[in-house]
Amino acid sequence: MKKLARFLRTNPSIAIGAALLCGMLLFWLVGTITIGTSRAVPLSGPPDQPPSARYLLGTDSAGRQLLPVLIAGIPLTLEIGLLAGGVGLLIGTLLGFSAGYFGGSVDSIIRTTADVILPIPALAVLVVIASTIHTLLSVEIMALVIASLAWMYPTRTIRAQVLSLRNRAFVEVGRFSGETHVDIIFRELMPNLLPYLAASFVGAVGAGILAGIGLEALGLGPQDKPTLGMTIFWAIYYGATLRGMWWWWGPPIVVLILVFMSLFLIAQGLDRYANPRLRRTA
Amino acid sequence: MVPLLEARHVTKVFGGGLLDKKRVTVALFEFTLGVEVEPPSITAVVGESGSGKTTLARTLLGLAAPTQGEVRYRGTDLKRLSREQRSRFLRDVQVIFQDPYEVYNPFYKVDHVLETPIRKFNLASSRSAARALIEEALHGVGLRADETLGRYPHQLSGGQRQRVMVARAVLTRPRLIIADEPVSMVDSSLRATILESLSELKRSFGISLIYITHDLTTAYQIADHIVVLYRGSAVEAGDVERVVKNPQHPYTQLLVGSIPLPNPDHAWQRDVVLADSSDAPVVDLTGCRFADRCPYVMEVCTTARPPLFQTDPRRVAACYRLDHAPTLRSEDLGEVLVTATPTQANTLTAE
Repeated sequence: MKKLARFLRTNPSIAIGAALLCGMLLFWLVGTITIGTSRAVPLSGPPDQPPSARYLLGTDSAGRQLLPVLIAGIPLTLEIGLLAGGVGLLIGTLLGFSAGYFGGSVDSIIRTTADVILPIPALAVLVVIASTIHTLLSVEIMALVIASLAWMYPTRTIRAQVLSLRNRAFVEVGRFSGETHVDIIFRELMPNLLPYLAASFVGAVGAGILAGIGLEALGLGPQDKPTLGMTIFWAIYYGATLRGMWWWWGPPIVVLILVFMSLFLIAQGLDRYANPRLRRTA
Repeated sequence: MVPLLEARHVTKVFGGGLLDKKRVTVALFEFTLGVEVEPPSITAVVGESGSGKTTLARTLLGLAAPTQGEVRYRGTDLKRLSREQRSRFLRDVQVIFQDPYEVYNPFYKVDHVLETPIRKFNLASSRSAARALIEEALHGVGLRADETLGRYPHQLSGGQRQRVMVARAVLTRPRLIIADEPVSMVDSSLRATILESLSELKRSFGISLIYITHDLTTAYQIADHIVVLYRGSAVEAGDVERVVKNPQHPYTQLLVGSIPLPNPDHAWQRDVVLADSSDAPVVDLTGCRFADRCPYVMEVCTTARPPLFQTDPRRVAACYRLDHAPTLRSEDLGEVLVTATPTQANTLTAE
């Protein structure tokens, strides 16, 4: 614990990233309480209004008020990322641990499957899947679709980490202390990979959000939800850039940049913690 | 009687890929040894680097599968142990590894290695009983619980860490502990205390020990019997006193001659003739494996593998220079490593 505290002091990137993320959550919380999200739907105001005292961030061509849209969009976008990244990493962790620890044919099957799927451009597959089940697409289903193609990279990297640990003598001592394979994986190996898994999780969340935004910007997101990506899609659809409506596409992009920056800083910090060789010696 | 643990014609080969069949290393060759634990004794396995000592330990422990042959626990192949037998095997046969750093999971305090076997083998019915077991085991290796528990491995010295591992191995009350170079990575000033704890195990708990080492002096210090390994085969085995004081095999003579004596008039290794082995073929299983280094090499040494010649009841050596002695089947190697119990000796004299 003391070690962690000292690490956090000397490597401020986790703190900065977390502060950014907390700031965004605070914005969402205060916004939900004071303004609410009920006016994030079409026809809740006159269309195409620039920001003013009455419509703080203006309105879009369908009459959505864009400040409530932003407030409603932040948690939806984070939800896609958390769900997609979490499920992807969970699958990757299970497969990576199985492949690395048991080796042999289990490893061959998992590794080959991951290797075969890995180079297929995920966005192309996601576009096909998403456009096929377009009408069913909710935020949760979209997250699961993204997760179905987000497990290969974690599988490979976690397998490599497990390989480096499984032949350590403490694993053999554990066997002679009566631990089963499941004990070894969860009690001996997993704790040592916690910082690494945390860093992977943050990275996977970022990748999940990015994949979600990519789909949404193509119009393949949930049509009735004002996620940040869908807002960008509608802005493109109604030619907001040509019409000079910067208040439409600007704020969601700024928020996304902040989200990615904070996730990147947190992941980088955790990565340094998990892998001391990347640490700055200052 | 079925030995507790037995290696039968174990051969272990490393390397030899699909494309490169020639670069194989034969770590153990047709090795047979039955380990009796009644009466408890300490058997030292000595040999130079690459002689197959560690491979022998790992195959006996079931950590490495033999390429050929089998390792049996109470007559059952280690690979075919049932769940129950496996659990009994783990309680009967324990291990102490060479490196007292690597054996600790850096995530946990040292308590973890002591608490895990108690929990997994249900050795204690309550927390206080578990605590008492741990304190007793630590006391047995000369450690105080309040100075040891609750600390992380890196907060203990190498000697303390290795003694905690000895305490861990004792917890299950095994019949046999296999210790793979337990003192070679410990500060030399602490070696004596660990060796003392190891031989104490035999006296106070009746635990037998297979002590694997490259160090003939520590082997002589604590062992009752000795097996000298050379390139995966036993070249000499028997009572430690006889083997070290009066070695019969040229390789053992070389090993004994390599011990530096604290005597300025005695030049170190003055009279050892050592043939060059750098260009020795990697695999040459015909003949004596020591032939290319042996100062007494004869015609027969390169064509046939020497059997074990039993020069006296408590010693065998695999060298054709001893071919006047009766041969011993390699299966019976364990027989020369059994200490005659005082009761047996008494009945013999009574008759």
